[in-house]
Order: sequence, then structure tokens, then C-alpha cells
Amino acid sequence: MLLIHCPYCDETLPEAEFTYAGEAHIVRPDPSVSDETWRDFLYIRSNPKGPHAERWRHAHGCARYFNAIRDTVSDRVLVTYKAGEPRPAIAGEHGQ
Amino acid sequence: MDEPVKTMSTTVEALPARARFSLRATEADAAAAGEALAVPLGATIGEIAVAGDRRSLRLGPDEWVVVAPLEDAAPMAGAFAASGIAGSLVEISNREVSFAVSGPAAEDLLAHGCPRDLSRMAPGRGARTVFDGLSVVLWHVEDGFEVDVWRSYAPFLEALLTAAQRELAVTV
Ligand SMILES: [Zn+2]
Repeated sequence: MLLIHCPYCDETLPEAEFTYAGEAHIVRPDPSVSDETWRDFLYIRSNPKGPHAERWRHAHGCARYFNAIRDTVSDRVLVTYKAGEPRPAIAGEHGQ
Repeated sequence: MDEPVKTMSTTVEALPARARFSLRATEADAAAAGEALAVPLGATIGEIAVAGDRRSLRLGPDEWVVVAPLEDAAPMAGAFAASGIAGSLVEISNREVSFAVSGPAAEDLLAHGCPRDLSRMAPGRGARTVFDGLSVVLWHVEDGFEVDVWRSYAPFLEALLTAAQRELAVTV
């Protein structure tokens, strides 16, 4: 089981308290954009091999959404940070 | 929820009804909300704050659960409404029931369903967490743990706890 640090509770807690909520930092476009842009917003994801910025929710705890960078190769959660904060740089990370 | 179940190492007992509130308020309004409800509101997530027979547990950045004797429910709701605080106080007295889990092996008993390391939850601390798929609120109080669970799940939770008790009675 993964141990995940909730940035609101400031505690490292078992994965069973959390739910995954998709890729992070997906900006919702203005609804007047083209169908192609809207399609990309809804369905196109980066799916990297390596560090991936994700939304998680501390569903069975403080109930807050926050962001995590998880390495999709090692399944290690590298860092977590509060919703609204910029994506932190990860040492040794290559461009995506 | 008939007779309390006791073994050498654990006791599981349904607690009598109490007033419960879900309070949502910003950090800035917390002190005023606590004053209106005559209960302190903990400053950090997981903190239990007590005043007489009323107490609160901070569940999240802007969320507390407040419990009090049943007869205090209406006056507390009235006092909060009169305070004009821009927060939300929802009475959930009937939504949940509580079990007291005590005895020297209480932590081992709760470990049957709760993935948290409860040795790190000191007395005076609590949390909303999970027990075998159920969302529960754990309070580590003076004489053991209290577990709040939504009413319709209570028979299931009690069955899990008593089954775990029998297992512990054999192994401890
Ligand atoms: Zn949390």
C-alpha cells in the first residue's frame, strides 16, 4: 500500500484513505472554444512514463483535493502539494 | 447494539444518543463560531477540544464535528443562528451512532479494519478515516476510542468489531 502525505493534514497516511482524481493542472477552457479544443480538454491526457502530476482526494480524511507527483514507473509519490499551488520542479526530471 | 460485548482485552459498547453538528466555517470565523457554540475549536486538523460536556474535533481545514448532550442541540443551533456567522452548522445527531472501544487491546481491535497507525494517534487526537470500507470518525478520548459511523452501517460495523474481538480473545 502506498503511503501518501496529505498537505492539509500534514500527515503521511495509508492510500486507503485517498481516492485518485485524474491528471492535475488541466485548465478548463472557455466553452466557446472549438470542438477539437473541447475534445482535447475532456479526453487528451499526457500519460507520461515517469513523473506525473495527479489530483488526489483525502476522501476518508479531511476530504480535500490536492496534487501529487507520482512516478508511473516506480509508483513512488515524489511530492504532494495543495490545490492551487504551482507544480514543483522535481530533481532529475526530464521534459514531458 | 444489545448487550455490550466484553472480553479480557477489549470492550465494545454502543453509546447513548448525543447531539452532533457538522460545522463548516473559515479560519477567520472559527473563534466566533466556537464562542457561539460554547465549545473551543481546535487549531490543527485532528485536535479534540473540550469544554465541560461539549467537545469538537477538527476534521479538515474548514470542518469540525461538535458533540454535546442531546438536550443542548436546539439551544446550540439557536445560538449559532443568532450569531450571524457566515458558516454552516448542520445537525447530524440522528445520522450517526457511536461505539466506545476500550481496553488494553483497543488499538489492536481497531487495526482489524483501520489502515492507520493508531499508536500515532495520541489521546486528545482524532480523525475521519476508514474502517473496512466505511467512513468513520475516530476519537481517542481519555478511556479509549469512540467510533462514529453512519446509522445504517452501524450493525455492519458492530458485527465486524465483535468478530475481531473473538479473534483477539483467542490470540491475545
Ligand atoms: Zn487530509
